[in-house]
Amino acid sequence: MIQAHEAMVNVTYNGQNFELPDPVNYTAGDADVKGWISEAIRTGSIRGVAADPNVDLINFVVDRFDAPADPAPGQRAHNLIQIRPKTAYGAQDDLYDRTLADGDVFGWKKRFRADLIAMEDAIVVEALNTAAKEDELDTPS
Amino acid sequence: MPLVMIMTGVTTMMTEAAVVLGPDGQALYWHLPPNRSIVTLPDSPTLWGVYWKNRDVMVGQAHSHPGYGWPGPSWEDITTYDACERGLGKRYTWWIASMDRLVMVMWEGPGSTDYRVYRVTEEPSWVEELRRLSQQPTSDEERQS
Repeated sequence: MIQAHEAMVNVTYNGQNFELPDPVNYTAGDADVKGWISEAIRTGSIRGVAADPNVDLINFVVDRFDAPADPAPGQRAHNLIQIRPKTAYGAQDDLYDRTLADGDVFGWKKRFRADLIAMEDAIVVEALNTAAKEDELDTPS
Repeated sequence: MPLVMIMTGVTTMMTEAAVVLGPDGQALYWHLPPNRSIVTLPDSPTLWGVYWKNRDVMVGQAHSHPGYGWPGPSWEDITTYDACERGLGKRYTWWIASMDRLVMVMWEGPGSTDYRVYRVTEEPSWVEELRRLSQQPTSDEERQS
């Protein structure tokens, strides 16, 4: 019997959706819940779920669903915690990467810009080489 | 301050939008949440549900970056790609469209956030619709503000 202060935990990871066998405290913090799940996946202690030593849930979100006050027959009657990947896009760095320093983010963006410039340079170099070869072919010996 | 553009006398406010894509560029789901803005598509359990339901048939997802020029993924984008691929257990292609350019982003490795950006010169047919949905006509009140 799941108590009022407890919740079942449902997880989606590596193409699998599974539930922890035992309930957890519903008021446990997100970091604690993700830590427990990470440990369980890392060690392969959840039946039917392959162990993953590189499990990383840092960019997963924790959704919480209260038990309905008056559940219908067959309806979930307990609290539920669901863990799933985030699906946010855009400029929200501060929402999920609080531990990331400004410099780190900037550094990554700088690296991305450098990649783009390198791509652009590669295209220009390829075009110049092609033009040079065409010139060679056009030049009478 | 929202970016407002005037096109042929019609005032539009630009916002991000997304589309989940299936085989042959088929649009499986247009993601136009009411809380989207010019710089963000907030986290959405609904969008996650679409990914999960279509995980075996989807080839990837595209979202728009209002503005012009070659777009690039934000750190938020990259960490979302990483998280979704971890959750779904597969690699996908992630496109980003500006108003005149398109890139695709794919994991290259070896690190989990090592994604490479490729410029796309021949645009698939869904891109123009994505751009159209990224330009919302504003109300008179919004236009005046």
